[in-house]
Amino acid sequence: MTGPLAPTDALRLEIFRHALVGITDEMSVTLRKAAYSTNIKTRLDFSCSLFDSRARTIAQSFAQPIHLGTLATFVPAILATYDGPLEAGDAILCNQGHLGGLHLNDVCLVAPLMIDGEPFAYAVAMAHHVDVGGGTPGSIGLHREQYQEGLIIPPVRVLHDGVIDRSVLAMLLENVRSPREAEGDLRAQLGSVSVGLRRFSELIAERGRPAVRRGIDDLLEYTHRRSVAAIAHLPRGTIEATDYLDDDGMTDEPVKITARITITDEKVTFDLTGCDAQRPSSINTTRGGTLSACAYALRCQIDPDLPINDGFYQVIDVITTPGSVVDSVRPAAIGAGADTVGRLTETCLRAFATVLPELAAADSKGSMMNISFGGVDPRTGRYFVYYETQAGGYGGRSGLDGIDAIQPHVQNTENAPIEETESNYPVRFLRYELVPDSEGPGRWRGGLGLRRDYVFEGDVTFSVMTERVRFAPQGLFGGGPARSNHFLRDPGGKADRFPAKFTIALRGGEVMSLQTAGGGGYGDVRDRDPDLVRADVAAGRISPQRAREVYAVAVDSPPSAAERATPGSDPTTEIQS
Amino acid sequence: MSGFRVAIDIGGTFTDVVLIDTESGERWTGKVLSTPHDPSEGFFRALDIALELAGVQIGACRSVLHATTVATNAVLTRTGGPAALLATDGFRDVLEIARQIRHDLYDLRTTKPLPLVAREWAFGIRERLRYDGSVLLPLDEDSVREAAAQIRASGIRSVAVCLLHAYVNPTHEQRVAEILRDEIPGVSISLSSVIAPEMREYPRASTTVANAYVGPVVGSYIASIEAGLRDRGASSGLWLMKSNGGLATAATALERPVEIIESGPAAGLAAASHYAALVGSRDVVTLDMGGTTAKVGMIDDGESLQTTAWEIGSSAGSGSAVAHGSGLPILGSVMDLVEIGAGGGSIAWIDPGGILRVGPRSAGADPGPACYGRGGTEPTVTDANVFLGRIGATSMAGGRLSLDGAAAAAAIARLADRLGVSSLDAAVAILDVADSAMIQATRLMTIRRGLDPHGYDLIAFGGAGPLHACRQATALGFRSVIIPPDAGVLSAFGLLASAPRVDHRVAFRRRIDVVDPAEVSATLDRIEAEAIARLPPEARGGDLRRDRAADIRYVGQSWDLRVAIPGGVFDAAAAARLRADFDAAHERTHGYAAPTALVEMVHLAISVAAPRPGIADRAVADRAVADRAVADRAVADRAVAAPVGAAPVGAAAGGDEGQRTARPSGSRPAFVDDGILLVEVPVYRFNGLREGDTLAGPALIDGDDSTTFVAGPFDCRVGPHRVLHLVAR
Repeated sequence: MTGPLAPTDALRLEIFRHALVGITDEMSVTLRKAAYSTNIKTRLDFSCSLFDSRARTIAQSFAQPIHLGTLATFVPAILATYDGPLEAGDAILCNQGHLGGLHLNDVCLVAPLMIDGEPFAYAVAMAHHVDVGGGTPGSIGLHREQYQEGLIIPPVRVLHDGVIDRSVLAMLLENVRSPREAEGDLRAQLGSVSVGLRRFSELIAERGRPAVRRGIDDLLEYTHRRSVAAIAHLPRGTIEATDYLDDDGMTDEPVKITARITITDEKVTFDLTGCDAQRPSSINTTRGGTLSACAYALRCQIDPDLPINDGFYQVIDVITTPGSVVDSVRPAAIGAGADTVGRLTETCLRAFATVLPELAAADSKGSMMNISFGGVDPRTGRYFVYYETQAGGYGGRSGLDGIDAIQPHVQNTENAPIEETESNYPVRFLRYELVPDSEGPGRWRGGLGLRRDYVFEGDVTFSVMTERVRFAPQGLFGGGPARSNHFLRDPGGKADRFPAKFTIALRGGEVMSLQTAGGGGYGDVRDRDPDLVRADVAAGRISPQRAREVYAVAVDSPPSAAERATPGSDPTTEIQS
Repeated sequence: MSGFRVAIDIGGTFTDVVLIDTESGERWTGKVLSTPHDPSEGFFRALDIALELAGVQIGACRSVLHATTVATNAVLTRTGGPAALLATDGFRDVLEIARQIRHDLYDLRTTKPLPLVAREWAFGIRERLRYDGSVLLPLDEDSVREAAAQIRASGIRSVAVCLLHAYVNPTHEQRVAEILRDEIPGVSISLSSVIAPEMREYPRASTTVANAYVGPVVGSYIASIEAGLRDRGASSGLWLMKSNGGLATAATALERPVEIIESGPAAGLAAASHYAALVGSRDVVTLDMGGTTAKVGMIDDGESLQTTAWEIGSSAGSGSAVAHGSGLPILGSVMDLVEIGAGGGSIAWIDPGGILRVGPRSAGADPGPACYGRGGTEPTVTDANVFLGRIGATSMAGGRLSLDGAAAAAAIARLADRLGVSSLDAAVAILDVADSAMIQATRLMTIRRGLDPHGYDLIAFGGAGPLHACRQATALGFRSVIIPPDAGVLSAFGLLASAPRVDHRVAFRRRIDVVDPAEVSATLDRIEAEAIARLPPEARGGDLRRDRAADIRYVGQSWDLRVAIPGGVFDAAAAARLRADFDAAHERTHGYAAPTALVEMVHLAISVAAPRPGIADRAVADRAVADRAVADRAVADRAVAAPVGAAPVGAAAGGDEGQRTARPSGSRPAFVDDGILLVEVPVYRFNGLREGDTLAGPALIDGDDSTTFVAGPFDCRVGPHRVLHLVAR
């Protein structure tokens, strides 16, 4: 660490930072508004960044914290791996997940800003493409090895002298189920990096190269200093926690996730060497995903206003065993590794809760809830593929109930509107509502999960890759567990229940019901204010029976207005098979 | 037509009034403290003062115009309603689920915005439409009656109805409304197919529910204002400013109260449009910098830029263009503003990494900046301006509020000590950081949309806008800077410059290559007739401005772009032209076009507006304003007026006739950009300037409401109506 900033830099650095963040924000807006697939344009599953000539992150814009560590890992690895020429007007494409993405769906585009024949900086746009080929529509299914998960694109030059390489594009589009969306999304990514390069060039023209280079160094140094100052507020020592994934989808054997976190003056070290070895299944994750989990858990404990750049990453050390579930190597499949990232995140949060209880939240729904389906669209005769993730409950907090139906922690993707989805895809929804009684009880209860019932116009292949069917979200400090995830075919009839990871063929007209987990409770349920219980009953969040049995609060008022208006709407009555 | 018009704008701190004699142009202005517990109290105090000063009776006023925050506050403080929601069975949690996202990524204690209808009052109705509007499950009328019975028993009298796909086929919603009217006497009903007939159920439900939620509050507020006006013998009607910058009669506003949620900012933009027209500038960026925030807006080709989707209650200046979800979405035309937490009261501080930051925390009015001498000790942007001589010790409020320069200097010095720099460097840096945040906001407004600031003028207003305008112009390359003479009461003035206007948009999803042009024409004609029917009766005749447009996207995209449809018959050639215009707009906005890709229309939109009234503007003034320290006293603004048109539009930038070099009234030491010391800078009194005067920067112009800083490289010319026009040499 070098000395403090010169006083004049302390006065002007904020201005430089505004300029850089403005560029990545502009890149994000361009990508979002021009993209074709719902997952990018509506659900914001993408990330835009600027890197300096040494492949250090200097500014980022994203809505998904699961991208906190991906590009920071991915981009240096792509640049180190790519051995072709690099000229002005070029851009490199890559989805080779083990270099740092979450899965093959994360397609990364890197464009250099060339000055005097040397790269001065890079503009990068990574987006989750809805399908990259492979064994299941949406490319996120149960697979034994990566080769089943889709087209693997090593770093290749897709743009040369500002012109798309038609043969690379043809190779890509021929291998995916939704070529029109893939091409539109790739063009939106190209638009995004071109905006980034243009704005960065203007910044250099305005300030001069030396000043920009010095500004970058100062900004990273400043961020590092602030990050060190922020971790100074954490208690010194080692904390740890262990949790398990339900299974790997191929066998019933739970997957151990364990984190030992050591906080020192200048570093926070995440020792993950106790995690299980990688499995012949899609649940493995990469160094990039693992860094995201650790970085997120740490950021939640410290100054939320910290810039996100290389200066922040410098305070984080992640120790893993190559070939483990949190640092998998080829040919490990990684399609559903985000659930491992999610579990690792909450395991780290549980460790922090032991020393910072006032800040902590109990377990959330604890799974990504990857849903994908595809088939021939009866409306058009063309193949279609669709991907989304569903919200669930957030854990209770000190003084605050958990949030109902929300994306927790590293995940923050929006829902796709019912009307838009029904207009564009051969699917109809029967219900999209909260699941009463799905909360973990506690002095501060968890949030409710949600229910989304699908019925298809034609035959489809339907995949769920998730977690928390077997091991429910747990409470904190005496709070109770939440209802786990439930997947039911024909919920009003036979109600066949499915495990956390499955791919099935559904016939047109068949109903599949997704009921997501609630959040765990915080604190002893006996300390809950009875008035809050009564309010939950009045709002139909908790049944009178559960109020009586779990919260020991007798509610003698008649059922709530809403319950009377929609008799039989309580989904829990339908799943007792 | 002779008579008086009076305009009242209620803001967070002050209620401003402007009374105008429409024939002579004579004007009286006043400022009283707002009365948030009962805004009508401040309204009538302001009105009475203006009437008294002018010596006229309310009966002589032919219209009373009003911009109000009553609807906004009802939502922000959750004091509207109560309201109920009827939704398709299985989907009544549309408000609870919302977008399922967190607006704050790293806060474990985050929350979702609280819905305006509690879950117990959201009912499922058995019915179902398909995506194309065809009926899958007919309406079960008993399920409506069951809900109605409970609503009736509860006392709730405002009901929102939002059924799936009702924007394609409104018949189920219409039948629900009939049943509700039968079952619940006196019920007020908001249908999603009427309020916001667009695809995507959450924003449509949110907007419809907001309409139902603010209805009762707006209704009783308007009733109390109208009763007060009647008691005073008023014969004129009450007009309200809508979010889209158009006026509505009280009666039409009550039909769609959600449309007046952004009443206040719209009035400021309307005034800026007025002055832009006066000086002949059609393309303008507006900078409204007040005490807490700065708002950047845009006037493009004479019309203030609007957006059709925004959030109420979202945190200003969240810093990321992709973060949203902190507020409640509202569909409908509203002034498109980028708002950031940088105002005169924004506090400068040193963050844990040791760098200087400004805002978003503001010293507000209490204690206010250190220089107000009311106990504030933290340095603010205003303190930096005082320390650097940009604001004189006696420049505020026409000299009646004297500033404590020593307190400002002490606050700056404390900050400078901690940074290890001189006070001068610290003060200059505070302005630089605040300016850079505003430059970023302005950049979002212009460059990000593919608009080049070199083709735009910057109109700056609000208490602090005229001090910071030159820096924006230099950084972004605006053609010129325009400072209107009424910066401090601009919103109230904007009411007088506004006219009735209705924006109407309907879903119309058709591929442009196969659309039947006759269907487009017929739909445009139909929605134009619907829009005109929503204008107040008094505004329907006459020469209406009619703007038609389509929202268009490439097939597969979700985000559309608005493209104007020229008047005249819409035929195949017009469809082809529209497609080409869309490709060009996409190229401009998103950096590429795909001329061979399929294109679809998503909405058709129409805007109908009555002509804006001409306002006689004062040519010279001997003006006084209310002392901010004793703000409840209003002072007459007795101005001799020249009617609009006496000076040719565009004369500000025109020839040399009548040009005089203005004489400064004095000088004070002030910092000029790129200087190293304070230097003596000439100071002009705004009230001593006359049309045709010129002066060269660096210079300071002390006005009653604000000080204008003319930076070194700028020349300033006093245009018609004493609009200041600053152009870089």
